[in-house]
Amino acid sequence: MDKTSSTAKRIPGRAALWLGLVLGLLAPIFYVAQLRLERLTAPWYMPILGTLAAALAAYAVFRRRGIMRFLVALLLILLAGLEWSALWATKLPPYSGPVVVGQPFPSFTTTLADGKHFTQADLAGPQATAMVFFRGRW
Amino acid sequence: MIELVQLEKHEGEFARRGVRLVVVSEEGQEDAAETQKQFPHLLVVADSERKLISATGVLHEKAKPDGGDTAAPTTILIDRSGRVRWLFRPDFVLTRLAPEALLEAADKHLK
Repeated sequence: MDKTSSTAKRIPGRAALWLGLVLGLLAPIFYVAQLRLERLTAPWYMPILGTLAAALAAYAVFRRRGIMRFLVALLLILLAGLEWSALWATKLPPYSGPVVVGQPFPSFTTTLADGKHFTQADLAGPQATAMVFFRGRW
Repeated sequence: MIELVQLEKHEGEFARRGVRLVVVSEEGQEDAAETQKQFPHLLVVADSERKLISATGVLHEKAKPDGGDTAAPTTILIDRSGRVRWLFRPDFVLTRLAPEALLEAADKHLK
């Protein structure tokens, strides 16, 4: 066994750095895949993977200092911070409006897509209603 | 809009349970008409004056990319007499109720 080439292969922290990079890049790729699969859930795995990636890169810097390692670690730490803050920014407050289970639907008058009026009286009839509020076409 | 695509796909299962799907946003008449055309089995409400959104207290302030207000994703089940039977508000804006979960809720709460 060649001692010199074996030492060259085992650069301290290199595996951790590469693993961190891969995990950091995988998180957004997973999210795109999730959207393509039409799974509309909060992507908790993104900041968790991002944090793990940042920790691995920081460990790589700890094992062996270098400007590139430092930059990669900094980038992954910023990315993890961005992922946590982006997820937190989408937190919704709990519902505290006037709709109460067991009570009649609050009165309203609005308009359907075809221009006809739509009121709470239209909710009573032969069919039950699932009313889904969505965020529009933007 | 993905949630509307999913609801439209499952429309038959809702119809079999005697449940119609009413989808509400604060988009104007023109956009709502486009949405209605795209999803013919959903009843699209153009709540541009936010009368229904305000009446139900689901306004999500400054949540649009341009800083404007919009509706927080919320689902309400109403029985044939017009009484509220169930309300779902996700913890995160990114989360939507899957049609399968809504069908399950309809089976449970709209008997």
